[in-house]
Amino acid sequence: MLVNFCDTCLRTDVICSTVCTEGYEASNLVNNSDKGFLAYSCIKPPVTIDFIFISNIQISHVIVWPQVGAQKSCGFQLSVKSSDTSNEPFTVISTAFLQKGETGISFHQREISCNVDMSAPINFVKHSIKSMNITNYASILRLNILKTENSVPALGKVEIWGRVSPKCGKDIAMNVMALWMNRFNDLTVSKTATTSIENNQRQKKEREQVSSSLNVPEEFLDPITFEIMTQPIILPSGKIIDQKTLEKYGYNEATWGRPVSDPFTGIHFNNVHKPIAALPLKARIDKFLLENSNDAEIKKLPRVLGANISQLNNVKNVNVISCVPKSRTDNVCTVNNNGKQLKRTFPKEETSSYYNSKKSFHGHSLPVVSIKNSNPSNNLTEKPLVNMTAFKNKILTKEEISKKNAIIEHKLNTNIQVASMPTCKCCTEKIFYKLPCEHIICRKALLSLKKNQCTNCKLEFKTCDPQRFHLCN
Amino acid sequence: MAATRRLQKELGDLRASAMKNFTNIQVDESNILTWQGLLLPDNPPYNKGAFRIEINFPAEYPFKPPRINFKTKIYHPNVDEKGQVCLPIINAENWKPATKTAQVIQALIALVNDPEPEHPLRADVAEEFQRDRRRFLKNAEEYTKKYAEKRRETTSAD
Repeated sequence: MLVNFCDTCLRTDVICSTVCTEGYEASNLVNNSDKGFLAYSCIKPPVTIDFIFISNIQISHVIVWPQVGAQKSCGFQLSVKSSDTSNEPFTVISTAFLQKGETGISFHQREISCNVDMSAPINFVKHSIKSMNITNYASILRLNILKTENSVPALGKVEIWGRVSPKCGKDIAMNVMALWMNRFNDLTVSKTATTSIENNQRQKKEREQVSSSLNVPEEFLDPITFEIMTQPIILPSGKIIDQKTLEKYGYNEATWGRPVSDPFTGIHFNNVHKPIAALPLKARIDKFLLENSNDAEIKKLPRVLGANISQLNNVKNVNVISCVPKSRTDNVCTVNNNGKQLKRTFPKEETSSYYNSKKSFHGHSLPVVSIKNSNPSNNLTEKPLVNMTAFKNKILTKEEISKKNAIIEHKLNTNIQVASMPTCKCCTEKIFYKLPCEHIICRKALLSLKKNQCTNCKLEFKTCDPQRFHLCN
Repeated sequence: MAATRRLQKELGDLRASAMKNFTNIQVDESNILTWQGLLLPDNPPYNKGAFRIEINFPAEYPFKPPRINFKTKIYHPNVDEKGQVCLPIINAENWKPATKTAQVIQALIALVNDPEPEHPLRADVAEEFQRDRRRFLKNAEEYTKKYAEKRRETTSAD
């Protein structure tokens, strides 16, 4: 009994020598797919397609439907190989060209030609295969498209009929036959499989719908976006929104050249009217999220404000800190901690200059001002570090502070390098970049780096990470 | 998409509230960013017809304002021939993310009921509105009769 080795049940592999048009991959030829194969539109013949069989086979006949839509191939060469070792050459067993108007071709061995009619359409051209030993023991069949009718190389369908080579063991033949006989069962199995998959998906969808209808208390939702809040803050107007929302709003306001204001009233924030963190609500939201943490919707939620948002802070460089009331005192805490460390490392006047510089940072003054203001008798190399630390503390949000503490400690060890950076000696361009490790590097040095690695702490960064650091405006 | 949740909520609220001036809210299931509905103004010369409007929400909604277009031709100083409408509340510069679509529609209905010839999109119509009210009313009524959709008295939201 002959079997079609292009049927998906026999797991024939197919390799195409060229790029295919999307959706018309060569694998369609062995997938029982009706789309067929189409090379990419700029490809010219010859194109070779190798069929690699699960066992060595005896080829009886090969039927080729050469057309996909208006694209038609018209010259074919069949060659075979008995093993997949690369040193064995392909042996050509047949070459055929279609004339105009001929719709297909079947290659067949002379002695079994009577069988061919069973599966090939009647109007297909018949062409014989050279009878050779190798056609009885083929492991790879190569179909070479030699010519096309002014079109892209195309193959509608290919059927390779044959049987497991008599030289293979009986068990292999049995297995292949079993696969072939089961193909209809497989079909039904795969059908039920797909339906069960569909069912699963439907159930999943339903479940998602259920979860989206999960009863989230109204007070946990941001009244602007209706998302569950991550970091709720109370606005001067008394409304509670997510900090993320305020940041996005502030970003949009900044594009109009306006400072952040209350999204509900439009009144600008100041020292008295400013948003404060709704910590009790945050605690309740966190409890709720924890209790419903298995819910798919909730799994997607961030628990803290992400890195992107802190970047946004830096870009805006506005009073986002003032959104979080405790951040300033937190800053002081950090400062104190650092102060202790500084006391150990630096002379006393250094710390006092630190506080002085910190003082000068209220309002919108830029670090450069404090550099000018500070006492010229101070150690020049260490001072910029101090100023910068103060500057950075200012732009940090509460969430970053813990991370920051570690970095500060780390930086104290490398303070001289860092400090010398902003007043860099390699150039006078004064173009500085900040790396994710908080180190400052001048443009020239950044460009001269061979690897994306900080020169100070060897921390690797991505090409997109360095951010312009404005020291002087 | 960031806008989805807010739009779902607003749509639900709008359908539940059943505004008498804005009915037949249709939203394509695959695209919640485009709404259509029928505007039913109270004042003559528009109170005889229903005007189909389309609301297009940007993906950044509610941080960017929606756009409103008239699908039905209307003879109005503040609506141009293409159906674009000049509504200060959804001006990109004035937009507040806290503004609800219901408020936008209220503002639109107010504008249609009482045209603002001081900020016209069609200067000729605005001038006619100010100089020759009778002719304006006649023209607008004709337009309404000719182009506006019929009002169904059984007004139900959806």
